[in-house]
This record gives sequence, C-alpha cells and structure tokens, in this order.
Amino acid sequence: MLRITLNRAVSAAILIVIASIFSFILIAAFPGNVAALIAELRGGFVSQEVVDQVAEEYRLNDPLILRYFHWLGDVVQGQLGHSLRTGESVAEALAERLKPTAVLVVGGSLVTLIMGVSLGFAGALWPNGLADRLIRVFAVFNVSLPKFFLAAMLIYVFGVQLQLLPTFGFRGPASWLLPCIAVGAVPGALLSRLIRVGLEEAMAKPYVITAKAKGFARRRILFRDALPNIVPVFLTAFGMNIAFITQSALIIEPIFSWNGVGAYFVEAARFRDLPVLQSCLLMFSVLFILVNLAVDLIVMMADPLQRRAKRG
Amino acid sequence: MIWLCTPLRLLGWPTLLLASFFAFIAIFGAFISPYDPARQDLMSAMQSFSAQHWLGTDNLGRDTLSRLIAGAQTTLIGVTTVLVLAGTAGMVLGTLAGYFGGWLDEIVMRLCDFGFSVPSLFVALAIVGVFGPSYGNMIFALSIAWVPIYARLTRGVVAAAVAQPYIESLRVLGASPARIIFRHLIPVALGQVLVYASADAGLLALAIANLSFLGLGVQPPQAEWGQMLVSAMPYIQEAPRLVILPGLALTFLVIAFNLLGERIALAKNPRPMSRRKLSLRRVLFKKEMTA
Repeated sequence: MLRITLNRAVSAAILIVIASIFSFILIAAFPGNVAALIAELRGGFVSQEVVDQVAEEYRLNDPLILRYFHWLGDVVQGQLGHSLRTGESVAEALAERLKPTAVLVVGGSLVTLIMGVSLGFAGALWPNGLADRLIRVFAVFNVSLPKFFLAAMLIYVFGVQLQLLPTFGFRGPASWLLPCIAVGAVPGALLSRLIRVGLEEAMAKPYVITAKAKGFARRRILFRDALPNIVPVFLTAFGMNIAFITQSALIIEPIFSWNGVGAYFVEAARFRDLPVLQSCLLMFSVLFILVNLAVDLIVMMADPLQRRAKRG
Repeated sequence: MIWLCTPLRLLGWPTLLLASFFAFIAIFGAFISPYDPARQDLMSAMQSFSAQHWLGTDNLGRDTLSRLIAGAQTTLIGVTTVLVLAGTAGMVLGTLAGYFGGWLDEIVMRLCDFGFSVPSLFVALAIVGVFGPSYGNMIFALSIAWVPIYARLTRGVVAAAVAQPYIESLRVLGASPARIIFRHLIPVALGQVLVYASADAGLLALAIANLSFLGLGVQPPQAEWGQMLVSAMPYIQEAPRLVILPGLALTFLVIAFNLLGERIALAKNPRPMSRRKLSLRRVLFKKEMTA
C-alpha cells in the first residue's frame, strides 16, 4: 500500500514538472518579439532602447534553461509576476478572485451530488418510476448539451421570464444559485445514471438473489448489499466531476459576470496577458494533478478488490 | 433503395436521418441558404419568423437561417480539420512509442498523462491566448489538446500488436521496421482511431463552440453557433429565439455525432457493451468530461 502510494506521488511530481515546463515553454513559443509587445502595452513611445530595456528587465536575453529555473524559483516563492495589462500582481489578483471560483466549484459539486444521488437512488428504488424516466431523458442530453446554452436558458427562464433570481454578478447566495445549477446539472445527470445502472447491475448478482430468497426487503438489499459495490465507481466519477466543474468555471463565470479565476484566465487569453496565462495554466494544472492523485488514493483505499490486486 | 440498406442496418433511422441532415447542410449549404449569411440589412433588423426570413433576423438584419447553415459548415469543417490533424500527429507519436518502446515511449506517455490530467479546454485556452484569438489558432490549439488521446490509443493498439507472433515472424522474415509499421501496424491502429474519432467529434464540436463563445475562436463576420449565441445574449429579452436556435442546432449536432459514434463502435465490436460499461465509459473517458 505504502509502495503504491509513493509510486503515485512520484508520478504526480513528474507530471507537475511537465506542467511547469509546458507553462514556461508557452511563453517562449510566443510568436514575435515579447519585449516589443510588453513595451507597447506599457504605452508611450516604443523605441529600440525601450524594447532593449524591457528585454533586460524580463531577462529575455538569457538562455532558455536559465530563464526556466529563474522563473521556477520565483513561482516557488509565490511571485507570479505582474499583469501586462493592468500591472497588478498576479498572485494578489488570483487570491482576490479565488472566492467566486471556490463557491462555484463547491456549489456545483453539491448540485451534482444532490441531483445524482437522489435521482440515482430513486431510480433504483422505483424502477420505471418518474425518477427512472427522468434519468433516461437526461441520458440523451447530458453530454450533448452545451454549458453556455444551459446557462443562457436558465437566465432566460429564471431571470427574464420569472424574474426570480439575479443573473448578474457575485452578490450573495441568491446569485450563486443559477451558476451552480448551470455547472452541476450535466455532471449530476451523468452521476445519477451511473448510480442507477451500477445498482441495477449489483442487484442481479447471486448474493442479492440469496438475500431476496431470505426474504429481505428490496430497500434493505439495495442499501446494505448493493450499495458498497458502487462506491469506487462513484468516487472516481465524483473526482472527475471536480475537474469538469472547474473547467466549466471558464465558461460560466463570464456569462454571469463573476470575477473569478476562470474569468481571469479567459480575459488574459483575450488580451495575450502572458504572465497571467502562464500562472493560471500552471495553477490549474497542479490543482488537477493533485486532485487526481487524491482521488486515486482514496479509491484505492475504498476498493478492497483494487487494493488486493495491486498488492499481488 | 438497396444502397441504403447497409448504412440503415448499421445506424438505424434516427441516427441516419440526423447525420445525413447535417451532412447535407454542410455540403450544399451555400446553395440552399436563402441569403448571404454576412449581408447586413439594418432596415429589417430583429424581425421575427416570417415568410421572407423563415427564422427571422438578428440585430444587424442578417438572416438567421442562412447564418445557422453557415455555422454548420464552420463547425463541421473545424471538427474535421482538428480530427485529421490530431489523429495524424497522435498516430505518428503513438506508433513510434509503441513500436520502439524505451525512453521514447516513456516520454510520449508522460506527456500524454499530462494531457489527460489537465482538461483540454485549459490547454487550448492557454495556447490560443499566446498565439492570439483567431480561427486558425483555435484549430491549432484544439489539435494539440486532442493529440494525447490519439497517441495513447494508437500506442496501446500498436504495443499489443507488436507482442503478437505474427509481427515477430515478420521480423524473422527480414521485414524492415518501416514495412512492419506501414503495412501491418498502422492499418490496425487506423481502424481504432477512426472508430474513436467518430465518438469524439461531438466533444470537439462543443469545444469549438465553447472557444468561439468566449470570443477566442471564430471571429465575428464568420458565422458560428457559439459566437452567434453570445452576440445574441444582450437581446435575450426581446428575441430569445436568437439565443435558442443556435443552442438547439449545436445540441442536435452533438447528439447526432454521439449517436453516430455509439453506433459505429457497436458495429465494429458487435458484442454489445453492458449498460454499466457504457455509462462507465461515458464518465471515465476523460475527454467526455472535458468538452
């Protein structure tokens, strides 16, 4: 167990190194003269002198390897540079914008969980009931529905037609509701189907037939005997959903005018704000690598089959 | 109608109808579209459904139906280009890694691991951000973001084939690596890649729409559904159809792609997957989650 854990940790560390190289290379691959771009963005007259000065300041004349290690040292110390557009410190800007994104990810996960678990279990408890039919309808649309379309429809129905909920800005729990639903509904539909189908399959196993023969109620069999079967699958799917929901932040935050990290990233991409792009990509990559590692380890601990198979 | 029998048996009516509908629009769009999709006519802006403009006009008086048709072309051409580019690059990398193994294999697979652990939209967004927002750069960025999945797929197929006796026999007979790769390994891998690509197309269509929606892909005069939707958002109160129509078009295109992919995978591998396996695959396939 310990050896596998260490193994996974080492792979994750290698991935983080690749992520840092990738984030760094992106800027080195910038087509054209970075120094000239920076000088231009700073405004004023762009002379060769100014460009040279900028190049000196950003160490653009150093060899690539030196620049990489220099940059890495800065990043480890928490210095992510300054935005080319506004001049503010990237680290501070990120910290400032973390809250809306955190709300979106946690809220979206809650929506996913509530929707997935309640629909999934209701579907398994009452086969062909309302919940079961809903799951089947969602199954057609779930991966096909564009997130921004879902968000636009939510805005139209709840904001424009019914005028129930605010559709603009990050202002208190009422304004959190629509974005969280927009982010969590699709993974919720996936999760519900997964739970429903997993339970159904478990209910067909021989030991469940034995339990039925003993005369236990369907509900008891479902929760006591079938439930543990879907735990590893559930955990893996839920871990994936975190990546999915975080990714949705890129699209949902701009729609609802939230000032989150996702919107920051998109804005940086629009204005070619290189230090921001670099920092955001690195931060998200490291986050995903760590989440994947955590999910892997938790699933391994939760799944006796996998634990035993890997030891042997 | 005998020529219809094979695709019909393979795909079933709903998939065949949806797929051929979109294919027809993409191919003959220029001939059936009633107006020039880029022509502005401010005198007839914001009209609702009418005999002249079947699906109405937008805020600049452009015909919505014509723009939807043009959007289908943009999306389908983009999807095809990315699939060809990413599929080719992935197959080259995967074949080399699977055939030669060693450090090359290690490097390619580690890079793939990175591509799998970070959702592709992040990678694509960063690349577009560095090179600047445009249609070409979006295609380039998506191709790079989509390479890992094809590299890993090919590598798996090739590595499994190399371990089999017939490849060993070929080596004993004196076949060169190039001959083995081009005559025996690539044909095997190509089948798998094509099957997977058909299932992947829907996600790519979504990715293209996502980037264009954010203003980082297709640029305004050219029509694209995601970009049409975002430019209609300010008018959602007066003219919700301008938002709903492109959204519905995209949803149905993705449904068509997904059905097509599922059917083709089924035809390739006739033993049907259990429902659990299918839904598991839906969830666990990283790419599925990243669109």
